[in-house]
Amino acid sequence: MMAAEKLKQAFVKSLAVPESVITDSLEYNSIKEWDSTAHMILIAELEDVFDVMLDTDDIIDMSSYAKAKEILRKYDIDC
Amino acid sequence: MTSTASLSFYTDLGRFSGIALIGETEQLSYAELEQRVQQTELQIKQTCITGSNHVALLALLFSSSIDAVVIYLAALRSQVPLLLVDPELAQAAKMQMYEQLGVGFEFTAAKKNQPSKLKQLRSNCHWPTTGTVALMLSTSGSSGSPKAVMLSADNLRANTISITQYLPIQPTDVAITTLPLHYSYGLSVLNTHLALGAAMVLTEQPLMSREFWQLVRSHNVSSLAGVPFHYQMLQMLRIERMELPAMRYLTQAGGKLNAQAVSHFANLAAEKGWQFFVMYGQTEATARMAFTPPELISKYPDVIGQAIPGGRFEIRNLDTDEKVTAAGQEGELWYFGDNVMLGYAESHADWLQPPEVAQVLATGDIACWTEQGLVKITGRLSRFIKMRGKRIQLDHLEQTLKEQDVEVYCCGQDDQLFFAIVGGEGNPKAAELIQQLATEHLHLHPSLWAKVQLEAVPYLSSGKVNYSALLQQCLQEQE
Repeated sequence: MMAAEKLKQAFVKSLAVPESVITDSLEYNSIKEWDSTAHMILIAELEDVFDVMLDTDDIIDMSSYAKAKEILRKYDIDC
Repeated sequence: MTSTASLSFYTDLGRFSGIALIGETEQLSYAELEQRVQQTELQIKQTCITGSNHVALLALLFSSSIDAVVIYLAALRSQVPLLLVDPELAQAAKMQMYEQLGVGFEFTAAKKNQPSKLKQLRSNCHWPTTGTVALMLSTSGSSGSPKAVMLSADNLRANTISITQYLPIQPTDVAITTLPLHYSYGLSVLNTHLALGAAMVLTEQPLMSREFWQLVRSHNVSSLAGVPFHYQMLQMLRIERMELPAMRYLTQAGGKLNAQAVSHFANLAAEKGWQFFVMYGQTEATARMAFTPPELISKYPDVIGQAIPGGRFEIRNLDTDEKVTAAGQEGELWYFGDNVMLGYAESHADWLQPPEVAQVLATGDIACWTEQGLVKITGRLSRFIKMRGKRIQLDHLEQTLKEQDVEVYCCGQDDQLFFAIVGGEGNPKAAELIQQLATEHLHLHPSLWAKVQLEAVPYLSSGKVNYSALLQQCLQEQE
């Protein structure tokens, strides 16, 4: 699976939303499914799927889908 | 002045110097806070108290804002009973609660461009009352029929004093709203800081956001309070890597944090030179009942510790009701203290004339003494679990589903809910209805609940459902 697809699936799984909801403009706390619980599960899922250990600063910066892509690029994951 | 009087958190606030509240757009010194509270107090008295001293119940949508805190303090000072409401509570549940408790007025705090709003909800809402109820906190949330814990001014005072005696709060300290203020634990953080002239940052930014940690650093926040869920997040954020020079101590309550996590934070605190307090309480006891002295935590990470100053525990045999004194023997945990609530309000008659002060609380938790004389919680009698610190009534869930013709048994532990479906036949829409209840109504993330298919329900010899056996089966099925 390509990294971009892996990322999308990680969001679908963690937020428990249909794929159509996942767009670049999707933001943390903007929909009820992306609450603190889902956010924590999402971070764990990303660390697991991409086999990385995210820095604290990156975890608290992960405020949108677009931002998640940008952050993962720092870890050489091209989404 | 006695030491008790000087610890009031809502009167004579001008006695302190320095900053009291730090909001999104402004900061208030204690002198300014005193002035604002005096103005609002007049407004509340004019609307909620009649010339013949009849009083109306006031509801406050308690957001984490300066304006909401001013209204809270002013209501306490004017001796108008105040119901604290979660601003996120669904409209229908809110209106049902207002109707049942006879709420006369609703205060919404100022938001960005909107001024605060004091709205009358019903005519004929002023009644004669004994005046003993100062504050009401809802414990039902969105599940169950509306029910609120009634607290007196004496309850609030007693618990505030006890907490300031065991937590190392100093006038130079700064706390932050990790918890909502309509929740008893969050409220106790505010009360204790105001009682000592310390400061509080009021924000609704989540713990997992850059904005939150910017506030922590820029205002030199010196303590954090959290329920187990917050500690999971702090663990994930690896708080030990953060630069937090002002931090002095952490407190945990609102459900059991597993011993492994307790040890993790005890070690981390030791390395950082912080203190870590594991505490226990219920809204029924205003907030706190027990704490573990930080020096004991790494040795005993699975206890709730000892009663707070001014309080006392008893453990009573479940069958004989006799006091248990031997270590390791289970029984129900009872608490005695000035912070025990007046009772529950389910109608306006309850808060107009609350019952006599009892100062005794059957906690509904099963506990035992340890060899060291500390208290360890081993189970729960009451049919509720805590999800992210909020109570969920299991019987109410069963009832709700039953009304939709779904035969299901609910059980669980904190942060883990099971719907056990028994037998093959039954409502073909069961799965869908359960899904709807869990996600739409309770807003639970799929990781927090599960449906389990079982062959048969385990029963006790009394003919009642054996819920602890049911839970064991559900846990096994899940693996």
